[in-house]
Amino acid sequence: MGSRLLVFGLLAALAPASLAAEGSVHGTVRLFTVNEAGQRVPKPDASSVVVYLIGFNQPAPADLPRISQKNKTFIPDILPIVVGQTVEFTNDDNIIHNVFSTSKARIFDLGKPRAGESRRVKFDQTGLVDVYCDIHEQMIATILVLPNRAFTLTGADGSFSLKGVPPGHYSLFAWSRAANPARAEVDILPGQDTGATLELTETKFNLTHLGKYGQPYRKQPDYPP
Amino acid sequence: MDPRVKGGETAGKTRDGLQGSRSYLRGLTKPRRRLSRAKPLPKDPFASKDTDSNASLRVDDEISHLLHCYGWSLGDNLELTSLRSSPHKGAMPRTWGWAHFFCAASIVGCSLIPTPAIAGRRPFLLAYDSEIIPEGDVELEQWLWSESKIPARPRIPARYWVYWSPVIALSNHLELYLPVQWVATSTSANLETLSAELRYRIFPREHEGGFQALIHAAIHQAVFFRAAPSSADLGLVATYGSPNQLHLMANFGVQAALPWPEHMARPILLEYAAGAAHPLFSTELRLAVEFDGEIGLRATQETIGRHFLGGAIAWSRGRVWITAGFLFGLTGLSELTPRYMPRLIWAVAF
Repeated sequence: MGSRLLVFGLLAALAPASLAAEGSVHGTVRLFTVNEAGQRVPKPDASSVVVYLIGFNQPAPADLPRISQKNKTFIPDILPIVVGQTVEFTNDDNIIHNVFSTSKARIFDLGKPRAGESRRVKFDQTGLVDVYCDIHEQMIATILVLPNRAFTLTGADGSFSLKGVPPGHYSLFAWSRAANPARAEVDILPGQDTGATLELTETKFNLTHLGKYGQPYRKQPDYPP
Repeated sequence: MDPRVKGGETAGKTRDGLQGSRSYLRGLTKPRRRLSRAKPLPKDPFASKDTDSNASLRVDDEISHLLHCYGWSLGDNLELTSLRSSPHKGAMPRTWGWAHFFCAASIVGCSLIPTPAIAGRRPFLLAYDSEIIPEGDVELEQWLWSESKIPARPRIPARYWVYWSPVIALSNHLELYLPVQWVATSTSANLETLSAELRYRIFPREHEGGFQALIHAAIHQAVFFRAAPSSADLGLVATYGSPNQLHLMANFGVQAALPWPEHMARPILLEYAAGAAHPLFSTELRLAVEFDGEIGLRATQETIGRHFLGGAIAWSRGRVWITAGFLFGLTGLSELTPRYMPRLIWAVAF
């Protein structure tokens, strides 16, 4: 009984110390786009840019992220996760979808589950996984499989904050589907908040892709319910 | 159905036996002059041996039993015909030259198309794998294979099989095969069996890698029942490792002849296999090695077996996958094993 109390005491004493030893990063992603005249202009909505740190590993959390197929759209269409996590894909439409990916980080084909059914896919390798529907060309989602939990999505003003980062020298990335990723080097100091600003310019507007067998999509009327 | 094809009554052994047979299979009527010189065959291919007056066609009891035990087909003629060179050798028609050119160009063209790679369904030649196709998908699968002569039984001719089957994925656990299988020798071809097979993968197909298991059950209805009796089989497949990494496989199965027709032997066939596959350069290409064996159990407790060792290369791209390879009969281990078994499997998804 005495030894247990000693262990609890030690844990209680060390916990605040370990929290205090962690640092944080905050900053802004400035998102630009190109107008019809070819000029680079700020984009009013800078939300849904993924900001993440690379340089250390953390175990996957126990929660189960979910991507829904609703109204022929993936919700959410951008999902950062930790390597080793499982994602649940649920068909919330009344029509059939065929969710698949041919990305090297995780190749899968979920077939054609019925409305309301779910399929789970585990992601064991870091990387970018583009997810499509083999029936509906417009359905596009991206899963970023990251090595740690130090990631977040920007707000509409482009602001972000990453907390609980172990001290060290890391690479800070900002990723958007339509832009090349931006990178900055940051030093995280114990108990200190580090600032960073990143810029992204959207240049990739063509989101056409091939079907699961490498075939172009056929122009077809809506899939019958 | 053309009775000549079924019974081989007129399609007999010609001076160039294979040529005559192939022309016949194509439905051509031109070889009639050759056929008129053909050696006569028994009028009823299912007639009992006692009524067969042609000594060269007679099947002795031992060979007959082996055939039934293993489902081997002799066709209608036990005499082997040697393969002769094509009469067009050295003067290939121009159309064939262009056909070959377009075929080669198509293969090169397909290999250059930047399509994503989907892992090949089946890297092994004879053994089952645990992969199944995505729910709701349909594939058409074809197997082509042959067995060479058996050194210990030189009177049994080389045989060739063609297997066609649609594959329907009923769920992300279950798929259905409805195969049709033909068997041929150098002088005859017959529809051998109609089958139905279910393959149930215990873990859903999106959970790849690690340990996977699959159970398969099939029923085979003999059509040309002189070649093989109707049968049913049940098997368990265990694999370990992702298809895109080192992939290990083990099979164990049992096949039993059904009690029809009554006069046939009812052997039990134990089947087992083990193998490994690994990607070569990319996930599109995989190399595999496998060991396959089977033991037939007779009522007298006598066991007769066949064992093979070989390798295969599997290629997949887009909606097509192909696996081709060669199995070498371990004739020293079991003398009733054919010396060679080349095999080609390909499939296209719709």
